[in-house]
Amino acid sequence: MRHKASLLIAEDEQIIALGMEMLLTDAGYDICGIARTAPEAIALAQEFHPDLALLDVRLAENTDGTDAARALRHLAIPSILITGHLDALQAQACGAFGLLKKPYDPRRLLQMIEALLDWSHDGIPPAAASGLFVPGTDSLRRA
Amino acid sequence: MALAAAVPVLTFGVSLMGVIDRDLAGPTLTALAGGGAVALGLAVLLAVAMAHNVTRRQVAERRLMALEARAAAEQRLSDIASHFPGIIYRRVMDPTGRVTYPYVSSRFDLPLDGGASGETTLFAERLFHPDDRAGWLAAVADSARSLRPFHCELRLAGGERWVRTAASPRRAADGSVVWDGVLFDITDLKAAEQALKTSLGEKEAMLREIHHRVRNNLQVVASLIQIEALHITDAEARLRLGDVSRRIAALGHLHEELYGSPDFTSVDCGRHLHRLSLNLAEPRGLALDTAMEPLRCDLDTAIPLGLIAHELLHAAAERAARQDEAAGIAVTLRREGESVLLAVRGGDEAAGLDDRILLALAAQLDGRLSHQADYVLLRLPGGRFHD
Repeated sequence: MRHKASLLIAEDEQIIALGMEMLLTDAGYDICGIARTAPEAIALAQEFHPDLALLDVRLAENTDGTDAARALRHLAIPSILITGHLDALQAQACGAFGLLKKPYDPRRLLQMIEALLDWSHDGIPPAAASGLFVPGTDSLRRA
Repeated sequence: MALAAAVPVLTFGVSLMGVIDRDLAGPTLTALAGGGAVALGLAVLLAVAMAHNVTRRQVAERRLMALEARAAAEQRLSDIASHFPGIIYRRVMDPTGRVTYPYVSSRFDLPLDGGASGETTLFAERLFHPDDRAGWLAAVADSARSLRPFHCELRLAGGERWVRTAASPRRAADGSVVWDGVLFDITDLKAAEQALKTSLGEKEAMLREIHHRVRNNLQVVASLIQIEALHITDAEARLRLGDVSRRIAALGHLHEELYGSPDFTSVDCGRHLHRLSLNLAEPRGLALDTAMEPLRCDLDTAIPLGLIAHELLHAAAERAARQDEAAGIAVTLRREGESVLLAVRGGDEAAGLDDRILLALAAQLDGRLSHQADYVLLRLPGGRFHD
């Protein structure tokens, strides 16, 4: 478990967002913000530069989490899409590094976050079993 | 013919006059006999002539009747053509490739040009929508080559009206290809078809929305449980609530399987259980050994079976991870005689779910749970499944 890594949540269903926030806080992560819309998620990401973002796809005001995933990719912020809408190919095409379908297994979520942070911070490539998408030559390493 | 009949009679009459002995018969009788014969001959001649006239009249009458019948038939055909809910046409392509339409019933207001011979020529360039002309010409060309009927649905120029045409070809003696065909206005049919497609699209959109809502609602329930669990300090109680969240996730996977099925009423149990096993084995880095037959079942079976299987598989995965077993998880689903058997190695430690619940779910399926060596077996009536 990565201590005090900062995470961004984009979820317009408040109960789901609260459950995720409490789960991740209990697991030792900081939550830099909870966004209801894609533009809000992008703005929070630009402000706080989280280590990782967890994005729902269908967000408030008809905004789309995949747009946020693409924008965050340009900011070198990895994201995991949490949704029932997309398949792996679609999620990967929009720049996300993982896909978790609702309703998710909390343990599975924590494992994916840990694997993605290990990869982005320490260059440890994720195991095939992690459920993350292994890119080609893209690097997530932070300076 | 009359003369041919009368001549022998007249001859006989004249002969008779020569033959009768005037001395015996007397001049009067002789004259009478001869005259009678001549009269008879003349009568025959007259009768035959009259008969001949009758025959000719009858022939003429018959010819007249035939002409009238033909005219009546043509009138009937013309009436049918004029009331036919479409167009009947004849298309002729001569050996040089020149196309004419010697007959077109005129129900439709089509742009027709009269030719010098009175034949009507339809120009595909003007009649049909530009986007559909090539397709029609290709269909007709293929029909000319193969002498097989062609069928086309295409729009008229302007794009507002749809027509369907079909025609059967034959080769004429002069080498021309002659098609006799019909053409119908199917604009209303196309509109109904489009309305149906739109309705189907709307229903598919509704189904996607329902699917999304179900998944989201399951997540809301799971999140409520997670929130409660995080308020609980007792580790055992938190674990239990965590197990409930996990089971809700398993139900979500089953719903996913249902949404992906072609009829939304049955699921591929083998595939579902394989995915369940994978989701449990992969995060733990466990090997997975599955042997699943492609068995489908309805939701009444799939839901309790999924819950039982999830408990057995979760227990097996936990045990394998604890004991670092190289063997990993092994699960089988197959027909065995009249039954279907689910076998999970190491599933006997399914302590997470109350045994009473497991047994109740098994009983709901008319199934039987048992142990055999390292395996937990669930035997179910084969009638609950189909291929």
